[in-house]
Amino acid sequence: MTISAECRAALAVAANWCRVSARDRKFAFTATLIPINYMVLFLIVVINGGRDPSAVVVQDHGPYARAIVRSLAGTDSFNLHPMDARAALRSYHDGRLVAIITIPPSFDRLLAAGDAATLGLQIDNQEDDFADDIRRGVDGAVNRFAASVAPRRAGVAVSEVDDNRHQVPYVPYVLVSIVVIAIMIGGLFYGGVSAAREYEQGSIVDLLMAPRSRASLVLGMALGTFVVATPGVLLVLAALVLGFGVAPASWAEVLLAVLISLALYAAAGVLLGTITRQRHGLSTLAALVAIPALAISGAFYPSSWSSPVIAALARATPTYYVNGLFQHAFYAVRTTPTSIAVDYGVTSLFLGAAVLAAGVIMTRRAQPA
Amino acid sequence: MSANARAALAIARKDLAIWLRRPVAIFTTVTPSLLYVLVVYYVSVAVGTPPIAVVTGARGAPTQRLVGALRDSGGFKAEVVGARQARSDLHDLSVAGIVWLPAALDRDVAAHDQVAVRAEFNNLNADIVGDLRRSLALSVRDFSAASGATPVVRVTEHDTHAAGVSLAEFRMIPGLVLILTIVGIVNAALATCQEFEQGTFDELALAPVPTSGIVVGKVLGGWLTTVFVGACMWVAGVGAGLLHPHGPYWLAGISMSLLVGLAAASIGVTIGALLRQFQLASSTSIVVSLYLFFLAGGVSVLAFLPVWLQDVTRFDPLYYAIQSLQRASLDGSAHDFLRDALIMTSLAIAGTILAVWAVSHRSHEPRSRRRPTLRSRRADPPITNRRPSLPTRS
Repeated sequence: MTISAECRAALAVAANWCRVSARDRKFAFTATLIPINYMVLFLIVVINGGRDPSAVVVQDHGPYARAIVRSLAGTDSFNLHPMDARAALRSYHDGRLVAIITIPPSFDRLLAAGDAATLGLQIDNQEDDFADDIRRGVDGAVNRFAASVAPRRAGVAVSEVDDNRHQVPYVPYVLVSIVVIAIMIGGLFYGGVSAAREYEQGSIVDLLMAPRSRASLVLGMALGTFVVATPGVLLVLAALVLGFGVAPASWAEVLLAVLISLALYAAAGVLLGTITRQRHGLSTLAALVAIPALAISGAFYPSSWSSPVIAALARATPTYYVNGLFQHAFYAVRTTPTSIAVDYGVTSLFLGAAVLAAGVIMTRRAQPA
Repeated sequence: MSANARAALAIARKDLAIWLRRPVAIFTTVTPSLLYVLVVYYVSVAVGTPPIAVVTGARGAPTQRLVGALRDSGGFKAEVVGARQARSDLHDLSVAGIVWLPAALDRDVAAHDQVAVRAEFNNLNADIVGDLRRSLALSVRDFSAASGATPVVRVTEHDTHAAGVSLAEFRMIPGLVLILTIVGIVNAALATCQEFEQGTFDELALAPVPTSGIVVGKVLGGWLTTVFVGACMWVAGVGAGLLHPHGPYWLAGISMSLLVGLAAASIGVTIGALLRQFQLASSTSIVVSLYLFFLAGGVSVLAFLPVWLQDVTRFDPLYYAIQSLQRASLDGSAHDFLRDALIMTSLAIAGTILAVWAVSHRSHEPRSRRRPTLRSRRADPPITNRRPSLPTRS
């Protein structure tokens, strides 16, 4: 058994899968669109950017009133809409606003007289978490305002030091995680469906009878998945870079991260199809595996800031490391405590484990489910 | 009972029996419910409360008060550690920030001087660092109020609701609607397209019942599966205290769930009848379910969406279903229930009519134009499955 023969076998399997998908154009089209579809869906989820849509009703136009409006806007907590009281109430009752902040006519007069001014705050407090966010945002604005108008007064003054020179805004940060989920679902879905089809049509028996190692078969299948899933992944990357203007910190790193992650999820897809041996429910299963895996793996912020159980779970999933690779490639920030080299190493180990597991299962189960 | 109704019930019973005999189908249908509960738990408990380190240089009562205020902020988990440990934790990403309390804090408070607190944040993610800043502001306000400092600005708050609900309760309803939609659409679509792919639809079409009877049977089959999963979700939600309609609002909540399942099943049958290919129907039905759900606002609050999306949302029937269920479960109200129920019923009827059209339209195609079924394909070698020419052992 020579290495070149094993490679030829892998290439032949990969070429066969590519030919099959080239013939089944509707499926190839769907498989290409799946990653971009998930990107759009997740974008709808995160598009609000986490800011509270609020009206600010300014009934005083003095310098203090203007300063508190600037403070409110500077907290990054609110999508502030200046409105009159009636329009604000109408939008609030229509469900388009979650808070109304009113600066009363006496605001400047009271402050000038050395008294405490009052700020009106109306909150749609149906859900506690959102309501708390608004309260904290207003407190932050009031503290900033107080520090600017009475810098030496008694109380607590907070000075802030930020560790990173570049702060990644919320939506671009999550967008990179969305690329990971798009790659994951694309690889799992296409690899899974194609492997399961081999079982359903009985052709897996013919493949297993070939005098070649299981590893070359699995690698060939993963390679075939890789090639067919690549257009969808490129589409997602193009949308990220051209559509949302996210410029990677290192194109070489992006390329490397895409290569290793797509190979990993293609092999994982083959493993999934080998386990289920039927196409029924595979697309659901791919999404079921991918979405929670990404949710705990630092899609929104580093997993190590979650509870210890979640952080431990995250470390056991490849997505945690893949997400770290992509965040570093795009923004040069670390989301895992390990170095980038370690993240690449662990991802490669997961890739090897997926190929090995698929090969072992394939040897034991040659019949359709 | 008329022959049509008996035929429809027989088809529904058959679909449910097939579904119950497939462990993979049950797994992929029921698992979303369990996973959703886990994800809701994760989002509610873990997200939004990153850990921070607090380094104190004093041990007096004012310092303890400020540490207490930091611990009570709810926006982060504050833990007092030494300076070296804090630095190491920040570097290892074990904490998201460090709050340095000055050694002179107790003295400054006693002398009514200003206390200078330094905060050091890992600001890689704007959302989290914004949360940290806001939570720190809340702690500072609470501490200042407890220390008797006169505020420059007082905030008077007016809450719309007497009491709010937790994030987990709030997100349980959209989760229920998501699961009902996915299960209804996907199962009905797959059950329908398999009839075409396996050639069994031709046998169904030979039965002396109109196409509408067959379609109603398929819709009922998909609906029964959805009701089964919906019941599991309700039991899990009520058991976990996340769903709690009171008195008559139980009826409103359960009725709306049943209507969502029915509408989803009718859409699923339409997709299955239109596409007739397992893989296509499988992926398309999931994508359609997710778009329907997320364009209805998904797990977000409507006001947080961009204005254009808010306008789109009002044309999505699931928006009304989510609103109705939230009113029944969270507010104890059946306001606009009739309108919302009418919208979902109309969707179910429209879906069924469309499914009848899709089935009739494609059934009238000449056989030569139809896609080969699995049965007809068995006669010929499959075109999609040529063996690769593997090299022989040398």
